[in-house]
Amino acid sequence: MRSDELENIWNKFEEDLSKISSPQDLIEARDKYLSRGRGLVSFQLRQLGSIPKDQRPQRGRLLNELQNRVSKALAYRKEELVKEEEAIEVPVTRDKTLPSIPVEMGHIHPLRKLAREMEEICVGMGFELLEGPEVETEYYNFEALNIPEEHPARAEQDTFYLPGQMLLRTHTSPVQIRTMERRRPPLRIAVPGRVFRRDTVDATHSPMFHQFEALVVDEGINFAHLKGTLETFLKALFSESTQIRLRPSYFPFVEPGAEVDISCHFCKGKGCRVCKQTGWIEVLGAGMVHPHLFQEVGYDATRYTGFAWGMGIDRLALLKYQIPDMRLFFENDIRFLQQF
Amino acid sequence: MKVSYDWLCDFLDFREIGTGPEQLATVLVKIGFSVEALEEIGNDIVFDLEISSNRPDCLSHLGIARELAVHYGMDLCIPDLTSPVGQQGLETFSISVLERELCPRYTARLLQNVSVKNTPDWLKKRLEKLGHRSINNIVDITNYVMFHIGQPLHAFDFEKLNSGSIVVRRACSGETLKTIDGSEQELDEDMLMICDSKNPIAIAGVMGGLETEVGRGTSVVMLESAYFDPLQVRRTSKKLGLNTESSYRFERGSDVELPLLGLNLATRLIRQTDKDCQVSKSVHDTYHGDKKNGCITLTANRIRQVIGVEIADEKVNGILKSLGFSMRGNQGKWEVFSPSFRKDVRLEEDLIEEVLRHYGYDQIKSVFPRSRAVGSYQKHDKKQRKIIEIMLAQGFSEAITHSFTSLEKERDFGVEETRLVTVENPLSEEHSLLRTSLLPGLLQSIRRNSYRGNKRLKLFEIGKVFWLDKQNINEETRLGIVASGLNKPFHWNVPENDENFSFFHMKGLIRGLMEALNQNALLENTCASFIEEGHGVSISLAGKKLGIVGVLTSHLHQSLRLSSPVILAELSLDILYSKELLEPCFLNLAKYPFVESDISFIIDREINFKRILKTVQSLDIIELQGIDLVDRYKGPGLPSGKINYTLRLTFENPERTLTQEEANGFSQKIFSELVDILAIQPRL
Repeated sequence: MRSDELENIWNKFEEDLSKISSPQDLIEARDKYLSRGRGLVSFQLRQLGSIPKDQRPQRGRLLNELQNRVSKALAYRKEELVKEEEAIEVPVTRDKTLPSIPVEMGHIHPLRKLAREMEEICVGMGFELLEGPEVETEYYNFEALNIPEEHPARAEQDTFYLPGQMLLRTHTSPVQIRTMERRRPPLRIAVPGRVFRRDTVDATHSPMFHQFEALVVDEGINFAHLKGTLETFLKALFSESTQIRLRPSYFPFVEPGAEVDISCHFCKGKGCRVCKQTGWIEVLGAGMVHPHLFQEVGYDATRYTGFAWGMGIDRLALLKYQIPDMRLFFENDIRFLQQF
Repeated sequence: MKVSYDWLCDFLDFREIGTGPEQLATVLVKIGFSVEALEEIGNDIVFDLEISSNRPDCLSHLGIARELAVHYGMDLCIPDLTSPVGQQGLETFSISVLERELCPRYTARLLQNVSVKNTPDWLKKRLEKLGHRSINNIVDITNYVMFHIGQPLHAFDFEKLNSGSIVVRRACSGETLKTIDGSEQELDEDMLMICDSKNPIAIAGVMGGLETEVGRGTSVVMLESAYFDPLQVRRTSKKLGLNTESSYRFERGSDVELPLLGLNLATRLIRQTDKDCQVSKSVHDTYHGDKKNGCITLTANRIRQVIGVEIADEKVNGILKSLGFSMRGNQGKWEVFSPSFRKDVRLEEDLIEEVLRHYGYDQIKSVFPRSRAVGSYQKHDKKQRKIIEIMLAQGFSEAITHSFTSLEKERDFGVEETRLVTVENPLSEEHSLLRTSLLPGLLQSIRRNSYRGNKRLKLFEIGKVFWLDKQNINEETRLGIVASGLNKPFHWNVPENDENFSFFHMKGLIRGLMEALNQNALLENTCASFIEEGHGVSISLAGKKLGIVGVLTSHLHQSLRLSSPVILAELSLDILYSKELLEPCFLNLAKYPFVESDISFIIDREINFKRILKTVQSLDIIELQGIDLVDRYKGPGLPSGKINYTLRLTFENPERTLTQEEANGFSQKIFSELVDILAIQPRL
C-alpha cells in the first residue's frame, strides 16, 4: 500500500465533502468513509494485517491521521450545516434600525375616555350606571326638579325646544327623577350623558356637551357623606394629594347646595393662569337633594335623605388634558383624536 | 355685582378690626359669594361678586355687610332711615295704583326748590368705582341708595307731568314711551307702567321716560320708591330687551319693607347735599300689607340628619338671629319667621343651609358612607365595549359629531322631510334640525380632515339619532363608520399595504362585529341616494332592518378632495344589543390533519360568488371543512365575459387522515357539479 493511495482517499473525500448539503448527505459520507463495515478508511485499517510488519506502525499512524481528519472535517461541516439551516430564517437585511411595520390602533374619543374614568371610579364605589333620553319633557327637565315656570333657570333663551312641547334636556338630572319614580331607596346611581344648552359657541361653550351626574339616597345619608364621597371620587380622578373645597352655592334641586373646587394640580395651590391665581379650580355642583324632589317621586322626606352632584365632562377634559378649545372635540381632526 | 371695601366699612368698621380686603374676600367665598375679581381703585378695593339668583337681599352693600356681620359677630352700623321732617303746604299729588297685585307698594315724596347740579365728590367716586358714571346729584343719589341698601328709586321732574297725579296701570295697546336711553319703546297691554293722568312716563321697575327725567332745569322732584312684581318686571324687561340695575333687583324679588326706607334715605341725602331744597311733609304710601311669611319649624334632629354633625343650639340660634330671622323656642326645636327680605327661605332645609353656611361647610368632617351596594355597568355595556374594542383594533378612532344638522345635509342623504325633528329655537340654520343619521356628520368630519391634509381616515361614532313618527319624537343609538384611503399605513417593505380600504374591508368588519355579538346578519343588495349604485348592501337581523353598508356616491364624494373612495356603514345598536353574548363553549379539536385541494375554473361574470358557494355546499360533502377564495382573475387571456376563480377546498375526516387522492376525488365531484349547474369551464 502506498501513501498516494491514502492521498486518493483524501481527495475523493474532499470532493464528496463539497457536495454535502444536507444532514442526509453527511450521514452517507460518514458511512462511506468511517463506517466500521464498509467505510473506506476503516477498510484500510483492517488491511493493516496484510502489510509487512515493519511498515505497519507508520501506516497505522497515517491511517489514524486520515481518520481524524475526515472525522473532524465531517464534524465541522455538520456545524456549518446547522448554521446554514438556521440562517435561512434570517430576514432580508441585518439593519435592524430600519422603521418597524406600524401597528395601528384606533383611539377612543377623549370625552369617552374621561367619562369611562369617572364611570369606573363610581362603579368601584358601588354605583349603578344608568342613562336616559336626550329628548325630554318639561316636567322631567324642570318642574320635577323644583324649577317652576317663573324660575330664572328656565329662561327661554337657554333651552332648545322641540315640537310637541318636548325639549332637548339641559342637564342629566331628569334621570334622577325617572329612576326615583321607578324604584325605592337605597339608590346609588351615576348617569353620564349628552345635554344641550342654547349657548353661543366659543372656546369653553358649546350648545351640545356632556355631563356626569351621581345620586345617593338612603336612610342616614348626610352632608358629611357627600363630602366623603366627593373626596374619594375626586382624589381617584385627579391625584391622591388633591384637596377639595366646598363653597355654599345655589341650585334649585339641592339644599344645602355647594360648588366644589379642587386644588389646582398645575401650581399645587400657589396660583397660576389655570386657576386664575386662586389655587382652586371649580369642578362640580353638589348638594343635599331638595325635599320637593322627594315629594314629586313619593319618597318619605323625613325618612330618606340624599345627595347629588353633577359635572361637565367637556370642561373637565379641557382642564385635565390641557386642551385649549372645546371646539376641537367636535371637529374630529384625526391628529387631535390620536393624542388620547 | 361690584362692592367696594371702603363702602362696606360704612356698615362694619373692618379697618378697626384689622380685616383687610383679601381676608374679606376669603370670608365672602366661604359664606357663599364667589369673588370673581378684585380690583384696586385708588386706596380702595372693589370686589366683583357673584350673587346667586335666590339672594336678591344681597344686591347691595347693606346686604353683603349683613352677611359679614353674622360671620364676624359684629353689629351693623345702619344709616338713619327714618322719615325726615317735611314742610307743609307744598304741592300735592295723588297716586292711584290700578294693579294692586303687580305693585303691592308704591311710596313717593315731593321735593321743591331743588337745584340739580354736580354731585359731591365722595358720592361720585363711589358710583364710579362700581362702574357707573355720574349724571347729576338727584339721579346719582337714587342710584346711590340702590347700591347702598338695595332699593331702586326713580326721580321724576314733577313739572313735566300732565297734572299732579300718578297712575300705576298697564299700558294700553298702541302706547309708546321714549325712554332715557333715547329709544322709542312699543308697549303692550301686559306691561306695567307709571303714568301721569294721560301718558306713560316710566316703565315700572325697568326704566324711566326721557321727557320726565330730572335734568338741569328741574326744580320740583318726585321721588318714587316702590315694590313691583318680579315676574312682571322680568317679562317686560325681556320683551323690550331692557336690562337695568333696577330691573335686575326687582325681577329677583326685592324687599317689600324697603321702599319707604329707601325713600327716606334718598330724601335725607338730597337735603344733605342741597340745603335749600324743601321736602314735602306728606309721604305717599299705598302699602296694603304683605302676606306674612309663614312660620317654619326647625329641629336640631333634622339639622343633624341632613348635615351629619351636631351643632350647638346657641350657635343655631345665634346665626339665624343675626341673619334677621326671629326665633321662638329652645331645646332643639324652634318656630322661625323669615324677615321680609328673605323670601328664599321657606323650608326647614333652607334654614339648615343658612346655619351650615355660617357654621362653615369646611367644618364638617367628611365621612365615606358605608353601603352594601354593588356597582354595575349598564346592560349593554359589555357589548358596546366589544364593539369599540374591535373598532380600535382595526385602526378606527372615535369621533363625536353634532346632534344638530341642517336641511341641506339631510336632503343630501335622502331623508323624508316629514321625519325630521325641527328645533323651534335653533342657534342657526346650520343647526336647525336633529340628525336622523350619523353619516352626514361623519362625512363633514372627513371633509374637514381632508381639507387639512389628513387623507387617510378611519372614523367611527356611537351616538343618538332622532326622527319624528306621528307626532312622537323617537331616539335611537347607532354606530356609524366611515373610511377612506390606505387600509394600513404605507410601509417600505410590505407592498400589500398599498391597498385602499374597500367595500370588502367594511363587509368584513361588519361580519366581525356581528360574530362578536353572536348575531346572524343577512346581507342583501340595496340602494340609497347616498350610495353608489350597485355598491350598497343592507344588513338585517331576523327580518328587522339593522343598517346599511356601501360606497359613497360620486356626487357626494366630489367635495371631499379625496382620491380614494369613501366607504360607509351605519347600524342601529339598540336592535343589535338584543341578543345575549354567548359564553364560550369548547368544541373538540380535529384529531387528524386536514388536506387541501384546489380547483380552478372560468365562469360567467354575471354569476355572483354566493351562487358558487351554494352550489358547492349543496353537495353536502361532510368532509368539506372550508372553501376559500384564493384567486380571482379578470385579466387578459380570458374569454370575454368570463372570470377565473381558484378555490381552495379543505377536507377533514374525524376518524382518520384523508389521503390527497381522496381529497382530489371530492374536489373533482365538486368541479363536476359546478359544470352541471353553473356551466363552469376549466382554465385553458
